[in-house]
Amino acid sequence: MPVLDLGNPQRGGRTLGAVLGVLLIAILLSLTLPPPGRGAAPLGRAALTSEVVAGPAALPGWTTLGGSVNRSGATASIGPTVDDLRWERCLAGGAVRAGPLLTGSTVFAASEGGYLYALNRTDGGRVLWSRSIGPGPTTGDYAAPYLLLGTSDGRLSAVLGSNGSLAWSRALTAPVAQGIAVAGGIAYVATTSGQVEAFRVADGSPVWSVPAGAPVSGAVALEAGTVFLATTSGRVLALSGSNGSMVWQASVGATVASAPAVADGRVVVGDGSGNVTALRASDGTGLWRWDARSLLAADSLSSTPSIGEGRVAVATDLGEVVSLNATTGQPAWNRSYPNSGYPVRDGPVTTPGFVYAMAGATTLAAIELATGNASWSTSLDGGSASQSPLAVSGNEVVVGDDAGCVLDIGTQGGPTIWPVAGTVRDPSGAPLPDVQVVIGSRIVTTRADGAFEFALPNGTYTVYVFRTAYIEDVLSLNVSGAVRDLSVVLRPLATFELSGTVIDSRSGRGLGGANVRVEGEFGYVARTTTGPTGAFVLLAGNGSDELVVDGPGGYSGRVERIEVPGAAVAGVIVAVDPSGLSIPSADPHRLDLILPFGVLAAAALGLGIDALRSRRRAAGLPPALLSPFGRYVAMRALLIPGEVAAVLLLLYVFGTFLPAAAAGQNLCELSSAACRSCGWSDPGCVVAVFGNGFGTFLGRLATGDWGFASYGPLTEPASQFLQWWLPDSLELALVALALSVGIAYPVSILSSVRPESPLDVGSRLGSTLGLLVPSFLVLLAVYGVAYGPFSQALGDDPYGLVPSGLWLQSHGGSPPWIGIAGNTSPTGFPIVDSLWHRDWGFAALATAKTLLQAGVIALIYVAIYLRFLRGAVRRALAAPSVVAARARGLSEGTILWHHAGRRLLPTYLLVFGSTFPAYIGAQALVEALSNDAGLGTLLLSEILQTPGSGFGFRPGPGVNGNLYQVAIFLVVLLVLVLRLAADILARYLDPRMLEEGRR
Amino acid sequence: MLDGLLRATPFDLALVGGPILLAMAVGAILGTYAGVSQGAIDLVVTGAADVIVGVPTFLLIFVLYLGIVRWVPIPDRLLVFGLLFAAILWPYYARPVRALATEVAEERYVEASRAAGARRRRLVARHVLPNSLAPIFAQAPVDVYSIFFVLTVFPFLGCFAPYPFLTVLPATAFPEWGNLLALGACHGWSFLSGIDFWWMYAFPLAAIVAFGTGVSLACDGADRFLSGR
Repeated sequence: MPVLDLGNPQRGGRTLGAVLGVLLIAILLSLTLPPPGRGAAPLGRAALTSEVVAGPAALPGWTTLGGSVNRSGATASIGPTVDDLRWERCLAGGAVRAGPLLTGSTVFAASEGGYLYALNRTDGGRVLWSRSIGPGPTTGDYAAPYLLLGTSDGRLSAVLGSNGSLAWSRALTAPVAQGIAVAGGIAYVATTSGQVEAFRVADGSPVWSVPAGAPVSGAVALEAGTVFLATTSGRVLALSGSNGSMVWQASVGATVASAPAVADGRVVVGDGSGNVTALRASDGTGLWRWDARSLLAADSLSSTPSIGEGRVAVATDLGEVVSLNATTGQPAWNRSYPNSGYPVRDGPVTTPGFVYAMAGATTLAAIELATGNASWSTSLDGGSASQSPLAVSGNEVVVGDDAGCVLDIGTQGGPTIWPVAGTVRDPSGAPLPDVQVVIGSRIVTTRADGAFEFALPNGTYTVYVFRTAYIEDVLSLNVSGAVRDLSVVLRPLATFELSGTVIDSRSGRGLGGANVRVEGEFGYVARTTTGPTGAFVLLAGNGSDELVVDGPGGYSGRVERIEVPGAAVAGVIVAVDPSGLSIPSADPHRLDLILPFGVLAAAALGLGIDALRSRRRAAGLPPALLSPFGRYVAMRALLIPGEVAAVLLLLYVFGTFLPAAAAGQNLCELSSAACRSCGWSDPGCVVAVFGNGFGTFLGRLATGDWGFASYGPLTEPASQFLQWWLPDSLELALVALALSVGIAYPVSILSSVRPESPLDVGSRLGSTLGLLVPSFLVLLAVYGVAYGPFSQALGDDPYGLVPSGLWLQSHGGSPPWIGIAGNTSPTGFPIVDSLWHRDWGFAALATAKTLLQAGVIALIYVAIYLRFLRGAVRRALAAPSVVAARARGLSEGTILWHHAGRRLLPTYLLVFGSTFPAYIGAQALVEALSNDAGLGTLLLSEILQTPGSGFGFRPGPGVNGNLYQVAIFLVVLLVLVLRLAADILARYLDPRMLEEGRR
Repeated sequence: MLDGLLRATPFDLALVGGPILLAMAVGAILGTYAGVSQGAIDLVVTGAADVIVGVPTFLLIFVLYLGIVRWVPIPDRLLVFGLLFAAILWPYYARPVRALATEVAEERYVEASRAAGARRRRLVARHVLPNSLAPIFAQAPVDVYSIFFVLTVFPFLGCFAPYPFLTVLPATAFPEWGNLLALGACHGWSFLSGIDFWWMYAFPLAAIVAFGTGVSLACDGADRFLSGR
């Protein structure tokens, strides 16, 4: 008995009569009503209430099946982006059969038991009124001020939407099939027996009635004065709305259970054999057909397709939701949902952003229109196998289920989101694809037809529209409703002819084969190559341009700024300098010529020294030419070329020759020497090619002709990258090394002085852990801890090439002294340069970034450094001088910092020399993971990007040259030179080491 | 996770332990010989070792591995990876062993043995080698680090972009601690506690640290045993 509202004090039992009256009503109601569903509304109270049905004008309505009389299922509302339940109201009388229909804030829905409800959807689904309307309502339609309802006993009734009072009721020959269409005060219906009838909405008087020739189970659709319907015999009819006369008819070949959808001059019908057929609306000519059985065999269609946004969306009976191109019928995407075994009677709804569908009759699914990605889906209790269609309005979808409840799903109290759509064209009217349209933090790119879409809440926005080589457009947009036709015209950047000559700066002769590039405003780029006389002509953007010349092989590049003042510019002369180590390109790098001379020279030198030694010996002098120290330096320095040669050979064999041979490439391409093709069957040729290829490799290495490297969007000559980023790495190295030594020096001394002290044990443990925990985890942990404070204090991320765009924007834009690769000028050292330009904010940020990275490097490297230092320091402290000092009674502090400290310096140098490669590894990794400018970043990205073709072997111009070989070579050179310097310095400081070395 | 770690154990023992033991053996023998003989062998060994030590380990292994990977059938790549690692790591043992061996070779007991007419091979095997082994135990844990560095860093970097390079890496196809750790750190790591799937990287990390600590302790123990402390 929960139906009665006994607790209402206004009507509480003050007198016995009132109590008895209420009880009587309750008993009567309980006899007539079926058991109500969950939380059924207090009918008694609602029936007494009379409220005006009115809502904010901003709420779009959904007053008929499919949202509009053409049954397109399309709406300008965007629909909900989340599946939050706003409210749920369960009706008396079981499954929802007619509605929900929305007008303003009112929702109409009728249950199978014959109860019609008006609910307020802005007030948690509060019941405005409800009434009984007779058995089995099948369909509804709101045509102000009436709500028209068809019932299964074949009656059609009109109820006033405002209070539910009955206006008129009339009997038809048979029940109304699925839907009513109203236009111009006339309502059109098809009955299940196959009669099409028109009558006046005001009083229900008939206008015309014609037979359709077969039973009908779908609604009629109305478009431009024509009534469209499809019969269960598979015929599609178009009738004149004025008198019911036949305009055309066509057959789709299988039974149709739903209404046709009509839009954009097309009639789209889904039939029981799974076909979706598009006919021309004017004459019924077939346009295209798509078969749902191409996805799932035995699939069929019982619901109306939805036409909108240039797509046709269909929901098949087996749970597929498919989006088709409306013009061609080609499927764009499809998604599968659970199949409940019921036919799907609710057609999908297309909004500018989503397709909403009752997939498989039980799942309410929201799918992104453009991509087909599932946005959300929710399973309805008891499903909705009924004819209660989806209603979409604003950010809500309202649906009724078979358990008898009306659900409103959407954003709780959020702003209404509106679709904003538009097209970008050029001045000639041609659509522009790939245009970036930016509103707030959202960016979209226009499609091939120049169109773009957004979904935005109310507000005023600044819209930026830009495309490479077009002049940027900025407009202001006020969104307070759907914007369908935001039209933007982008003017292309005017271009003018720029001509000139590239010459050799020494000889003044024209240079052919130089790559010339113009970089203008708005991302404009044009390229060309100079002709044999060095002349070039290209189109440059109006305004200020950068002219970039990559000299031909053996020449360095040059960048110049050119002003194009709205007219052609001619006679530009760019002089490029020959690079120092140039080998004339006509002369291939002939190792077979250079090598014998080298061997002869070395032999001559050896003989000369031997002769000198024997003459000294004959003169009674010690045969050695140099002091022990000088001899050590000379020996070590002499070793370097041999080591370099070995490394080069290693790099060539493993980096170039073997991979190229394994890839089955023509070995002749390894060298610049002339040979056509060379196979393994000809060993002589292979040996010759090996030698020549090595020569080419060395030649290119020496001349800086290192091919191209790429990092992110940049693809530049490898040498250019080195020039940009080397200072950055050096700066970091200086800081990191200072930091490492600053930590390692006191720790190693103190822990050696007090073995097994907490410091000693701790440092040993720490260094073991530091070795074992992979360094990138150390980095992640440090960045994780530092990120918050860092970005709070300095306003930017602790990683990245340069300050982020956001940071630069809030600090007055990108300064002109930062280049495209995050390289700074004039020195290239970011900290130095920012101080030079007095950009304190940048300096602070760069210093903090460098310190953070240096800290991580130090953490990693000190672990290794300490491990090798421990023993060496302990040995040094056992030296006689230290023992003597201690015996003289000097304090431990004095001994430590004066005697031992000085004695330790050579040890530190030696250990540093031998652990330097480990240091390089740590720095490379930290740079790469911090995504900072530097050789480490380049090195790792090169290794990862281009395995195994090898520098020196380039099948074509512009192909990456595997910079990693060059980088490794440079690293090795650096390691060898630094180690040499460290060793020599150590022996200079502590000559006793010379003795050890000789042993 | 446990299953992955357990299945990875034999691979890791082979992949990490194998190269290190091989490099230890080769390095100790070559180093001792070079230290004792002081002639052409010394020059060759020292020169080769200097070149190899001059290049950061992880760079060198990739130059070598990428150079020959296409010549090696896929099942053998793991073996080749290990052998190349051994080929790169031996100088790190040979250099300190040689330095110590030169000192040991001038000790009195070696002199005595030489005077007693012992042949060089016996001299090396009986006297110099056992007394020059100490430095290799300092190096072994560092090499555990080097190998795991390679095994971890590259899958980790590759986790953000499908680099072609990774298709030839030997250890991406089966469970391996470094690989598990890299993938765990990549997919599981987050600074937000709610979505930080810590077990994805914590357990592989624990396995590596436990293994490394074990090696480290074993080496310390061996060092003490040999030096008679």
